[in-house]
Amino acid sequence: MRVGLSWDLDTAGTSAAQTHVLGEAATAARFGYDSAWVREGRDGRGACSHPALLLTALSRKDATLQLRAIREVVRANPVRLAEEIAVLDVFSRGRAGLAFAAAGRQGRPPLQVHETVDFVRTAWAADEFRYRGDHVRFPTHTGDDAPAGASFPPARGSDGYVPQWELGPATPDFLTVTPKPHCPRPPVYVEIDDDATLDWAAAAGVSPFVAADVPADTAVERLGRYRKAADTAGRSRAEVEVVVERVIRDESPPALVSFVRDMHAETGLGHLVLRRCGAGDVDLFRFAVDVYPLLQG
Amino acid sequence: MDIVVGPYGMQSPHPYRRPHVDMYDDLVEHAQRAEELGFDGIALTEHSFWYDGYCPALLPALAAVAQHTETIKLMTGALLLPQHDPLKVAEEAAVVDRLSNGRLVLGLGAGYRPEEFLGHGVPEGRWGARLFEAFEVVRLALTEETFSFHGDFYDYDDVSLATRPVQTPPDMWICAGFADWAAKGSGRRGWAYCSTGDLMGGSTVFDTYTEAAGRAGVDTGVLRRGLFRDVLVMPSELEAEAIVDEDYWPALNDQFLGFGFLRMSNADGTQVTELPENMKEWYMKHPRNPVGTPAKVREMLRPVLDMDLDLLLVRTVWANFRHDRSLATMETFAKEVMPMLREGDANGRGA
Repeated sequence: MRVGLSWDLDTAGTSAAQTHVLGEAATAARFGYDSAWVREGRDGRGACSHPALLLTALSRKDATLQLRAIREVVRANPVRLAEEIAVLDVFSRGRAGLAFAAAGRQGRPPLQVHETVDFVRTAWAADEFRYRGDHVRFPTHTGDDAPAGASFPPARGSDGYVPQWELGPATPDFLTVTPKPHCPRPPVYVEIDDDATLDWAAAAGVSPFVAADVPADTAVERLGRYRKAADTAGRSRAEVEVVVERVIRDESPPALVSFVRDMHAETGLGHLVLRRCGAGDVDLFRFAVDVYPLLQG
Repeated sequence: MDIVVGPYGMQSPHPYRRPHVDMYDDLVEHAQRAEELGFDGIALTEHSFWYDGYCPALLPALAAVAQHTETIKLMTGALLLPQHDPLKVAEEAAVVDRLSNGRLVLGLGAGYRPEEFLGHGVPEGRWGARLFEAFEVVRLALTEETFSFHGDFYDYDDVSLATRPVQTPPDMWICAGFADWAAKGSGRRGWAYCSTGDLMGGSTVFDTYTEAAGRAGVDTGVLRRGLFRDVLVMPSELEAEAIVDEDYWPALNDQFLGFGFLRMSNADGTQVTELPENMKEWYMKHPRNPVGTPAKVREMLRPVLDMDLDLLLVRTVWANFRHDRSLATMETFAKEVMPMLREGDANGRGA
């Protein structure tokens, strides 16, 4: 069982939030925590609406934490998103990951989240490609006659095709997004609050993420459905990581351990994320000493 | 005059590939070494959609460098602003300025590769006009508690950033090669202007800049001039030549071919696919690109002291250079060339 910390920069304060998060994350790394998750400021003017920026700074303060940005698709340019996480991944030597907030939280259709996830995963893995979706189109001039989703250029030399970077046409139909991540496929997560996203993520092998404000019984129910849908789609359970974020305050260690073990048994939970809220947060050192070891095995 | 090392593009070109993870490690080490050697700043530059992995995310990278340096300024030179959402750039800039305790310098350029605009969803054309408008958006966002802006490309009402920068605003420059529109547009607005110098390395671009300011009624005393130079200096001519042949030219050759400098046609209409035969010799002997021993480089750089510069951006290394050579050329520049520039600058200002 991995255990990480998360921060929502809209609620973590304003100008001092960044240094607070960097300091607390560095402390967590020393105590043996596994990951740091930073959620984008939801109103777009939060203390840091670009989690990747803060995580890139964090990547050089510590060499062990997995670094996860929780992003929205509203106002996000999917190309920039792919580029920023790739730079985070090379700066951190392969510790980056990207989670997407639920479509409902953003007032966007689920399909926009699905297309953005699909686009970003393609951008990291493919050389030259184009993308035609309802919400994502890359490059901009990709026509309606292009295949839906990602499509790829003909083989070099066929039909006179030359890759853009080898003096291909000035107006390219296919482009490569670079740099590529150090880890070929950084993990991608999505909140499974709506049924369309739950079914899509399960079939596509995208890891589920359940945010702290989702009640525990709802989390168990939805993760159970995700598991069944993934099994039906023939996905291996080893492909994904089930992540649950919780606010942990004053639960006694035995009760908390029991809760996590039950959830693990029912949902395959593999990564518990402690949401940091400020006053009243569980003590990091005590949790690391008293609880973390009991969650292993 | 601030002397800034860079810009670093973080490319790993075909003829000389290095793992990006190693180059980013080196970047942090170079920044620390540059700080020790007395450089005033270190700069990064961006491009997108280029196979060699050119860095497309400067502000996150500078945020990381900020964690391992204390005093050196952190410059984007240049961030291609029209290809970004200017408000997001302002938000990120404010955070980096806080994380670095007020060391951010924003050099903002337009870009020129059509594929970058198309890939980032920006309509082609009017890139200069878009740059100036976006520059003003960033400036307002980082200066005013709340601002509104209504332009041809950007439209905002009552916007305020939650995170305020330490500097109000951070130092900002237009970085735009030697394009006439950039010199004139910067001058008319009284904005700081960083150039490559004119085609032969001279200062006529700054004359254009100053004249445009004067015609627009801008106090020319507020103008600030920056200049970019590729500089390769080693203790001996032999060592300099080795860097040129093994590190510098292979990378530059790749860059010339790929970045559209040669996206032009032969007389028969076919596409140019090879550099002109004497390109290397021409480039290496060009007054804009001092290469060689400290004495030679000092002599070639002396004219910049007459340009009344506030910023000199010197690219002594590329990220893909062999690491020991990268540090050697940076150190040689700092110890053998920088003192002449500092002394000349002080005398010039005092005269």
